[in-house]
Amino acid sequence: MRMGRKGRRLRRLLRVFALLCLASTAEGASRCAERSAMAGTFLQPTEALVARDDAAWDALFGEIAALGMKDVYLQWSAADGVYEEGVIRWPRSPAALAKRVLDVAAKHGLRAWIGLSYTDAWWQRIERSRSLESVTVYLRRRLFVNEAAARDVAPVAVAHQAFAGWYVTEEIDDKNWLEPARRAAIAEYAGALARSLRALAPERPIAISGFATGFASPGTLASLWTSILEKGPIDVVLLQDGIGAGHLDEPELAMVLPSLRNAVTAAGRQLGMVVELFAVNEPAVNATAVKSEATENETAEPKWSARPATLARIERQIALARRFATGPLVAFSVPDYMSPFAGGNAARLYSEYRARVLRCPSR
Amino acid sequence: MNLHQNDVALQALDQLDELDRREGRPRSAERDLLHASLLAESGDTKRALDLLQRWTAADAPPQIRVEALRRIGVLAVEAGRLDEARAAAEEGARLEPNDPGWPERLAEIASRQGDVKAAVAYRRDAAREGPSVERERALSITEEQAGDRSAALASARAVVAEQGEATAQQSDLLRLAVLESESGEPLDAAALYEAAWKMGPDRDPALLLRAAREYRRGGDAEAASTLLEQLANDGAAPARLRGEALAELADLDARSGRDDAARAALERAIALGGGTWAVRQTLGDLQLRSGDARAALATYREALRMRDAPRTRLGLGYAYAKLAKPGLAVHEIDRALAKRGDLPSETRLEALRTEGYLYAEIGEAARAARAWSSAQVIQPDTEIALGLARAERLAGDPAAAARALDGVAPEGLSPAQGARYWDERSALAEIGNDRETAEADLRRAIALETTPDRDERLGVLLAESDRPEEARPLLAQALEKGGFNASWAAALGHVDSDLDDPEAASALFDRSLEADPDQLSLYEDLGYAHLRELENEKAIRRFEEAIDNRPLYPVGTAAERKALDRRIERLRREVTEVDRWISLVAYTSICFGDSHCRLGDTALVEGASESQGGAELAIRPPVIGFRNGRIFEIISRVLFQQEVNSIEPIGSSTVATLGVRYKPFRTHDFYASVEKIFAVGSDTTGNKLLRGSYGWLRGYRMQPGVSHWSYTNLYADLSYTVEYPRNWFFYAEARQGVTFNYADRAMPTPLLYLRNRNLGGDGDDDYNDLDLGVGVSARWLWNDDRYHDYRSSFEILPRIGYDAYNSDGRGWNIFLTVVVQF
Repeated sequence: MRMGRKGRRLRRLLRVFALLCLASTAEGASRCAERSAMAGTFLQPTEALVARDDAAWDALFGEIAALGMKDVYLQWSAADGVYEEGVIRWPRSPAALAKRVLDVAAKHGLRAWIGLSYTDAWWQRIERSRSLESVTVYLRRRLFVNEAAARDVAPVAVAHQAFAGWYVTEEIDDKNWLEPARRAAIAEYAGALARSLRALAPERPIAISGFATGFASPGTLASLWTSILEKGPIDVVLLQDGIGAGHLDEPELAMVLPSLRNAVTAAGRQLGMVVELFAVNEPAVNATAVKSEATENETAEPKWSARPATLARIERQIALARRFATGPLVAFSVPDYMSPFAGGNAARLYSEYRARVLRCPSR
Repeated sequence: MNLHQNDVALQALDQLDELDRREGRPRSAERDLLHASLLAESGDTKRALDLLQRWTAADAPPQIRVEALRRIGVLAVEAGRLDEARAAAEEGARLEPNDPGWPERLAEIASRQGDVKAAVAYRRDAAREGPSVERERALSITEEQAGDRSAALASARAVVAEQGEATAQQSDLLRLAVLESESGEPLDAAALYEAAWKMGPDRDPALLLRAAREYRRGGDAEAASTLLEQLANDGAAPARLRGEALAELADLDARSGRDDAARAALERAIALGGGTWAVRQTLGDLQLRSGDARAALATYREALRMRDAPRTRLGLGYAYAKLAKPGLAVHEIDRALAKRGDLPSETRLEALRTEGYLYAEIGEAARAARAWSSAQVIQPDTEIALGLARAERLAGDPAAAARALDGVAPEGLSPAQGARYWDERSALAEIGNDRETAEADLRRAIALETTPDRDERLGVLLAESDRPEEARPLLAQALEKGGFNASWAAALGHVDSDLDDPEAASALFDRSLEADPDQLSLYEDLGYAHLRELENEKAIRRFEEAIDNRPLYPVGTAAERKALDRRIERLRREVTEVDRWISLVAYTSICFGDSHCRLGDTALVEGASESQGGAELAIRPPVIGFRNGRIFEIISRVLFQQEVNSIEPIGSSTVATLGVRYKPFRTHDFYASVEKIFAVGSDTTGNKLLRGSYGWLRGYRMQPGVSHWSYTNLYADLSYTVEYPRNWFFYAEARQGVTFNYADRAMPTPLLYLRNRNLGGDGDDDYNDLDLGVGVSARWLWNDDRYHDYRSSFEILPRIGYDAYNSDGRGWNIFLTVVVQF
């Protein structure tokens, strides 16, 4: 009798202990996944990437899906448009590229955010040294071009099951838009573009990205974004963490993020973070590389180059982003710096990160 | 003796006293002294003192008396009866004036009573009566307690001198060192600390640090450095002390300009665990000063983790400023300044000034102005005042900018500052639309310091004042010396254009547009410049680009949209006009009725007859056909009379012409022509026709998007045949109507007209009439495209008129005119 009572008590205790263990494991799994996981990655449709065959694309998207990611952000779908007689002609069909991305994304259970038009003239044409009138005209030019790109893409994208939303390709920096009139100009531009995109696909969210270099104070950066968000239906602000590019270090990012999160949240939008997976190569390394290239091609100029970052650094970036983000964490970028697709150190980083993610029990 | 034994002894002594009293024996001094001692030991101090007091009387034996007084002195002090003790000791001193023990005792009692002055006097007495190191030391201590530092110092020196510095007690040396230091003799103090440090086997490294600090105070940095180095390298010394030594050493190095050595010392200090906030702060300051802002930033961050000090926040701010992160810099400086009381005024001033520059760099003029205004309150500065004025102006407060400048006396400024002063004065005058002052002030600035920017500003000012000759050299110089700038090039181009140098203007516009293709108005300006240099193809291309730019224009309001529409239409007309090389016009005019429908046998000009028809082919030859609005055309016409009430030509009236036509004015529609008339019909003769016409039109062209508008047409035509029959013909017509817009394609225009036809000369058909009437002109337009206005039209004009005057008699007429233009 006495032994039997003891046994029941012991069983009860064991049951409670087992439940506690289960709860803590579930909570641990959740925390683990939150610490590790990024929701998506950018995809830069460079000539080299576009030239890869469907099998290569299939493999790449498979790798992305295997990391537990859900979203792919096609950074741009259109480039090098030529404006003639009131019509923009694209050397490569934006709709065709968007469709290719959407189709392969759908195959792997991913969603795709479709970027608009890319131009390498952006930074030069919005420079502070240029007059406000000139910059305002340029922004109208960009609006015109981006609307044309979106109109081209919309017929194939809007009804596609993998279409997640629009991504505005232009990046908003913290230097060129600080004077009140310039701030108004960029806000007007982003707002007008967002309204056009919303009209094309009323149900789909719109994301835009930006970065900080410390040129603007945290408060000013926040009010810049408030101005932008007031002007149009942008749903997600993706702030590039700048760690990889060397724009900010971790303490600086931590200075910038609180007020920005408050501003974005107050506007009822999401603040996502772009986790930069790369580290910029030192100039000396560049110089050597360039020198060797220059022997073959005397006109070669120094090029920006980067390598995959360490997993430890990326995990710190993710942890910091988690503290402040209210939206998705997006990698920049898996195809370039964290994938067998890119090979070398990128493949190694992929394995490490994947192992890290897989260590988390699935939720 | 234990307590029990003590009690037994006291009982025994009490019994002996009682026995002596009963037997009348005198009291025994020795026994009383013993008794008092036992009573004191048992705690009965009062009875002990009473007993001893018996032996202080004058009749007591001197030795017993002195002993009693000595014991009273001791017991009274223990019992806290200090006055009693002091009185006893004074009595003892009186009895034994040469015994230094009494003044020593008195000094102790006086000290306990707080009478340090008396204590010092007693100590001096004691030292005088029985000189010794101990008494001198005691004197020195008492003198120090009495606040007589110089006396204490002298006594302490005597103590050490008495022992010899090398053999003196360490404590005496340290006391003297402290006194020397406090008396403003740091070098002596340093030597004493150093001597004290050398004593004994366990050398205290703290003394070395003290010695070094005293050497430093005394100005002997070298000796200080030597000792600090010694301590820093002493592996046996505690790390904390070594760290402190290194921090001191770093401070010394830094003050001597040896920043690298100072940094190295501080880094060693931190490595030894001596990374206090102050050490890190100093290291950060040094790193920043040496230009290593990134290292400074890291160091300040570590310092900040230890203490959120305004100075550290400032350091962070300055480091961020050097790292070209002005936003983060102002963030930190703001936080430092928020702690108002924690920064010295000088530091605060510097912070505010720096913050002003940073805000100005970011483009936040209002905040820059606020920072600089606060700085000026602390300490006015001319340089800051000039910056403040600019910031206030850029922030949109010219009155505040003027106030800032009012506080600056231009006479005392350096040339560069003076130039900036006059820059701002000029800019403020410009805001106030006082161009004259703006120009004068800017000239003053340039006289002090010429810069391309100022040349450009003055050039633009002069150009805007319609003084292109003066503007040109300034703008050219600015462009030459300041490097290429798209807007400057455009400004110079406009001046060149004003100076009638379209080649130079178009070259500049071209370069400017290449550098900045977003200057919308420049496409058009360049187009016109090309027109002026007779480069029609280039002009057309630029006009077409300007038309393509339509989506880029700001059209926030309906008025803006309307203005843009007009602008684009004007450009399309320009393209149409410049691009046209051939035109064909065919017309017929039918006169219904039979009164005055024919004028002469052959009408050589349109309108000369109410019943005529014809066609005109005009060709503009290349190069000379269209020259900036001046037009040269080869024309050929066929003209014939028609039957009244009919479109049927009268073949015998047909003539053909071949000639040339010239429009010599760019903006006036005046044409002069000469034509050879060939007789085609049997009733015609060959001749030569000279002709001049002038037209003025308003509201003739389609205005897209506009529902209706006023239409006015004034036209005069004078022609003369130079061979027989020499006839002249004058035709004038005025029309006024309202044009309605139908789908931007058709234009019905109800109108009133008045016209005069006058024919005279050799023939016998002299004629003069003035008719007026109403009609409706309906024009249908086509053959337009993105860049061209309507190039073809079909017009039908029915009208009814009455001859107000007619040399052949009055009457009503109905006319129908049809014109087709390709």
